[in-house]
Amino acid sequence: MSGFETVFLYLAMSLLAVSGMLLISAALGPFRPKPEKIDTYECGVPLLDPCHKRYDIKYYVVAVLFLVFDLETVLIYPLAVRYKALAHLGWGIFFEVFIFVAVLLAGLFYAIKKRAIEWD
Amino acid sequence: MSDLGFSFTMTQLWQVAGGQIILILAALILIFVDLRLSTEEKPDNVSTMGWLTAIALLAALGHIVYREWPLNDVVLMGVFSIEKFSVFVSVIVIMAGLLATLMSIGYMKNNHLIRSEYFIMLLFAVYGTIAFVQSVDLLMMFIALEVMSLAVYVLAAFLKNDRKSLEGSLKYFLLGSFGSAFFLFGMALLYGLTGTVNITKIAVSLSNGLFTHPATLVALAMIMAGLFFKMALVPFHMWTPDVYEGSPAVVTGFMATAVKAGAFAVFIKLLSVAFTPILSLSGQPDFNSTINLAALGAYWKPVVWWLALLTMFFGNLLAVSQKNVKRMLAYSSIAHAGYMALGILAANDEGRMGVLFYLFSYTLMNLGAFGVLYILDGTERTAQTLDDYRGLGYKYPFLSFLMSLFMVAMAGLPPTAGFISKFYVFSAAIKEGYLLLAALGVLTSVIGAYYYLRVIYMLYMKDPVRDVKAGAIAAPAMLAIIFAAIGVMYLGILPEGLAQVADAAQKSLAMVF
Repeated sequence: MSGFETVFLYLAMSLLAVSGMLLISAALGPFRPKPEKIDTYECGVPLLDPCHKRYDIKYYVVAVLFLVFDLETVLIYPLAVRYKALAHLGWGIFFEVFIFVAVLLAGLFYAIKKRAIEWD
Repeated sequence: MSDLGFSFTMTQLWQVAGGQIILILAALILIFVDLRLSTEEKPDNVSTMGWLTAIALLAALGHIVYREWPLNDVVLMGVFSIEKFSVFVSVIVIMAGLLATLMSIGYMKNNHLIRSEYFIMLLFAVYGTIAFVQSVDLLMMFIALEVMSLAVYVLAAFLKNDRKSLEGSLKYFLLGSFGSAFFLFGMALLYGLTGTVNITKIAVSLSNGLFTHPATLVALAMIMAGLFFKMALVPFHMWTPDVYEGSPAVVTGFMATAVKAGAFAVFIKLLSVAFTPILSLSGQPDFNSTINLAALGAYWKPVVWWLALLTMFFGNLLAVSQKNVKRMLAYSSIAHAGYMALGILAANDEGRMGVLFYLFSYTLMNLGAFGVLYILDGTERTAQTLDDYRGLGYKYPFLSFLMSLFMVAMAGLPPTAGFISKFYVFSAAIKEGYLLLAALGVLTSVIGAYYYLRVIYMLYMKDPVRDVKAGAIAAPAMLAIIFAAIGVMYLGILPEGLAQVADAAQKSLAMVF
């Protein structure tokens, strides 16, 4: 075998753990339903207004902008860690990072120019 | 297995990746051109962007044809392979992009859309498809697949105030992501088994004994399922009608041709490089053991057999009951995928050549049909049903003639490209002994002829029930449609030229590594 048995073991264990927890708590726990218990916060304070609200689409734009920086981090970090081992191959790799950042920057500039971060 | 090192000069880089570089640079530059232009929103700016996109696509096409066609190499640290096969498919994809761009200039005008991000998205979609086809590295393949898909999801939702467009796009996004996840999971299993993401090394590693491992079969099944989503073969076709009907007409044309061509090409490439003994033909001692992979054929061939049959039957049968021409063309594109699957099933030289030829001619006739459809439509969804088409043959004789030509081609009647491509695919299947399937395929194409010819019947032999006013005919769109029409006729009468090119393209698959 090729090491996959650990993966299957892991899957089986996690299934067992989750179903075990659910089943045991269902079997042992008391069951006293109350309308307050299905409130959004079960802390005694009545809700002020319904939780299905409209919220501003701008949060979405912020999430998209965050993605730009997130990707930058995710891809530059591994390279920075490995850079010493690759440094003897020349400057090509060094400049590749800049090309990558430039592509992401284009997206950032586009978002700023399209007034994505102006909150009125 | 050359150029796995890091040393390459700028000239070499330009030589092997120029087409991709042109596309991505053009898209990035157009972002800034768009920002500059969009300070005042005028319809003319959209045409400017459209023409710039067309120029960029032409430049990439020229580079790919003239510089990359003679190459036969795995380049850029073993990530992309530049051989005639990927060049041929890249040409199909760029051609689809170019035709779609030219038509979009007219489409945007007719539908009063003045947002030119459209063309940037189109460029990214073309780039993603080309990178998808050229990659031989599973990771790059997945990234390229996502670049392509994400761009197309946005394009599908481009009619922002139209519910059907949004619904289609969301469906496409959810199901497409699901398909991609399957693809990714298959890749992960393959990587876990073989320890490499390069598909030739996977072939070598699998053929040294791993091909009997059950996890290999699971990986193959998952990768196939992921690609079948994109190819829209029958149990995986559920998203197609809604998405194709909802999206802007030109985008639908692009999706049905370029994205499908990309998925088919990658399927052929993956299947023939990593899962069939084709590499043993290359004569390199490393790959001699890949002859063992023939054993895998017993698993994937019956699957493709049934899928091809189901796709041909359901695609054609469901198209018959459609009242909306755009939706009918969606089902027809499913049926065409079934015919192409027949060529893949044959898995011989003729089959692969037939699929490539089919993809090329299908791109011409499908985009041509969608081009005429959007013009007759006026603004999206005003005149798309068969009833709207009644009697248009006398009101718009030239447009109706073109529509009839594309319908005849799709029905597979001579002397059009549709007939020749079906002929190649069916003859390849018969050569491999799939006589029953080929016979059933011919039977379904008779069903197909019914609904294609019904469009012509409506156009010429019925009296109009309501007054239909076609939209304005933009010069670039007409240029594209006429190009497609001439191509369909030319390939129907003189197919040998393209057939030889396609044959050279499919032969290169065995020789590149």
